[in-house]
Amino acid sequence: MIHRGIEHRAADLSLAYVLVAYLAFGVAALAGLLQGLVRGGMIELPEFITYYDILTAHGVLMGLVFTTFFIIGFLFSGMAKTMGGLTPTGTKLGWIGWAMMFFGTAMGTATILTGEAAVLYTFYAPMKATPWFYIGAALLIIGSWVAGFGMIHSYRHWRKNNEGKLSPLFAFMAISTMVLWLIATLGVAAEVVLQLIPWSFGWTDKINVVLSRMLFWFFGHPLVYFWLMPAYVAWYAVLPKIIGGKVFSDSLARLAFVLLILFSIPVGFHHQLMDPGISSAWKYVHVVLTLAVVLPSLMTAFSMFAVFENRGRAMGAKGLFGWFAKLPWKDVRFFAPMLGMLFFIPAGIGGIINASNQMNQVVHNTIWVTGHFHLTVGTSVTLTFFGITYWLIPTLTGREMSKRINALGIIQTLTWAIGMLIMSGSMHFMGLLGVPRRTAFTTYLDHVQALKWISYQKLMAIGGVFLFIAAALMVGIVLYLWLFAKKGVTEYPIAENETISSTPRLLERWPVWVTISLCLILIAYGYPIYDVIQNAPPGSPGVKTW
Amino acid sequence: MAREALSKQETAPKTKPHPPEEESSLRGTFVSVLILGALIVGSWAAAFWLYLSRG
Amino acid sequence: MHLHKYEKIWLSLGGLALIAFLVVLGVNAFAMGSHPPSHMAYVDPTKVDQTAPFDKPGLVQIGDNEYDLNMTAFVFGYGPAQIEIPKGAKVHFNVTSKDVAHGFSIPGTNVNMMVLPGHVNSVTHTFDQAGEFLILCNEYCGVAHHMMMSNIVVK
Ligand code: HEM
Ligand SMILES: [Cu+2]
Ligand SMILES: [Cu+2]
Repeated sequence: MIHRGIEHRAADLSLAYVLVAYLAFGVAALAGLLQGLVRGGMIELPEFITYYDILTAHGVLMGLVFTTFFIIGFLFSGMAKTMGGLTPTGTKLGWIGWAMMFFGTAMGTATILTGEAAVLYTFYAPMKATPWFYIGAALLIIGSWVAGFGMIHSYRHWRKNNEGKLSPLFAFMAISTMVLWLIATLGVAAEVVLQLIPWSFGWTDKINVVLSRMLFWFFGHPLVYFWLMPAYVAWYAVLPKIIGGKVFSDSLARLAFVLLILFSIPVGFHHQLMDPGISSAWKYVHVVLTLAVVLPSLMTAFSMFAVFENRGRAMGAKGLFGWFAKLPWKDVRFFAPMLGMLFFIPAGIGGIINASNQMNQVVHNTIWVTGHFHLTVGTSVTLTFFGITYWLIPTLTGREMSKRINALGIIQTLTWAIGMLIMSGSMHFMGLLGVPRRTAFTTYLDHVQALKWISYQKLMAIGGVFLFIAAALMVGIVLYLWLFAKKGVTEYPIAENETISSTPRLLERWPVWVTISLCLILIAYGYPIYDVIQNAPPGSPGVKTW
Repeated sequence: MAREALSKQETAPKTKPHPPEEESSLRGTFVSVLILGALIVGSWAAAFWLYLSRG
Repeated sequence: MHLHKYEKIWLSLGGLALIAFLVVLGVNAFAMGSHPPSHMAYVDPTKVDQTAPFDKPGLVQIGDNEYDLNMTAFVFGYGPAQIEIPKGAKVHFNVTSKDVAHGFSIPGTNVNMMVLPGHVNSVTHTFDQAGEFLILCNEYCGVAHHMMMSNIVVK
């Protein structure tokens, strides 16, 4: 008899998503290792594959595939746990979405590895990949919508059956995440379906470059919140349970998520601060909205510290910081996400600097930016996902994590953290010297300026080696927990509320929030998009430059 | 101490929930976020200085 | 909804800091002219070589030690590939692309912008120090992207 933490159909579905996530992660980690070694000048790639093929694979598989699959799998599982299962339709949509996403990923990866699509994960026009790359991307996105509809179906069913009740915090947060995703992906879907696919088939001969970039970054910034929000779900709704505490404030947690939906979309120009064709006034509008989205993260920081302090004091901690030592540092389910949170401090600071309008000139497209998002998504989010994985897979398969795996997990987490300190630290430093990102090994004909930074690239490569070791360990642990760990009962950890909830009902009125979100989008994007279509420069023909 | 206040409240529920303020001191939290704030402002100022110095 | 007293203080301080950042940036950009490069001029990307001033890329004196430096970006280089600039000169870079998106950056300075086909982008820098400066492409543009460069000699 197998005891699973959630209803078995939902468990199978969730597991299918998480396993694909780690398959992509493993391949992408190998690519990451090679990138570091190439840039460090330590190896050269064989003839049949270029640095940029590998970099495209790494960016797509890490940034789009690993994250999206893991997130959807995790959110399905928690919704099933807190709402007593998914609806049959919800489960079915989950599987259809999985199949579309898997097929799209396979197609996209094939075009990348055969050298037909070295356009990186941002696929900026007018570099033109094979249409099958864009079709793969479209399938990945549309599949994720179908999965999102599955979640929404289950959520609405629950609310109908529980009229007047507040929905579970986890389910609310999961739906928020998917609502953000549904709105945000409209931009990239429009770009891919209306602009790129017809153009790469040759049905249209020119493309509006700035429009395509606007549509991409309409999606690109909320994308980073789509990565971050599930990590916040784990921090707000799961972690308190793991340390034996309670949710700090249910209503503030929900408010933070609503603010994330509202303010993370109308801000895409902060990725185009250095672009021509967008006026500096409109850029500044997006910068203002970007800094507004810092507030929910400041709320999150307070909530997290408060959960920890309350718990530590309940266990008898004294003094100002005594509670810090009382936390369960030896439990990897806590340790990994906790390190992720600590890494979010420099990560968040870097983000504020990047978004600061003209200051972006110092760091734009330097490897500082790569260092920055290896802290945010590559560490805060990824370590949190690792921490989730340690209990999620045993829950889904009806197994147990042993003490030895826990100890190995601590080592794995530490290795990742050390590797990232080295790699991301040197990336940040080199970025300030002006070292470009997305660039194979080069000395620029032994230019005096370039020769100054060559040795730091070696340091970056060494960090990458640590990271690869940690990644390989993680993939091994996933396989072990899935197939070989001892049968047993692992509870799905969901935290309870501290106080009797007084959460305002308004927070669950989705039409209100979606409307406000659309209004903000209209303000921030309405005129600029109209303008870039009406007053477009002559279009660009596509080229294959690799 | 904080916990005691909470369990008392749980055994004898009142009509209005206690605001968390009276339950926990959160001094450590406050100092922690203030340190975080100082880090944010300091780093931002340093980056702005770098921007100006390269102008 | 209830906010802890300390959380109120924290969020107010945080909000104020963010507003302070915005004010500093706004004043520096709008009152002192330090905008991020956001030039609005257009050019037909398929006819760059026939369009002035990009038909003759290079340095043009426009004032007392002040110059326009009109440049083209293409896979995989810039025109011109070698530039001499007098020390202390104020240089307005005007750059457009003949093909795909490129970057345009001089390490150690604030010269850093995107160069897109169909658009001219522009940035200004004063070269107070003698020496060699590297212009490099920091936006991936194809298989030899890492070879895309130009050299500035200031003397
Ligand atoms: C084994 C661990 C990892 C290593 C060694 C590694 C290494 C690297 C390196 C060296 C680059 C930059 C190359 C360049 O700009 O020339 C890079 C880019 C990137 N990495 Fe990683 N990385 C790792 C893990 C991750 C993770 C966990 C994520 C996200 C979940 C991630 C997402 C990305 C993305 C999105 C890019 C940008 C690609 C682009 O600029 O087009 N990486 N990585
Ligand atoms: Cu962003
Ligand atoms: Cu380039």
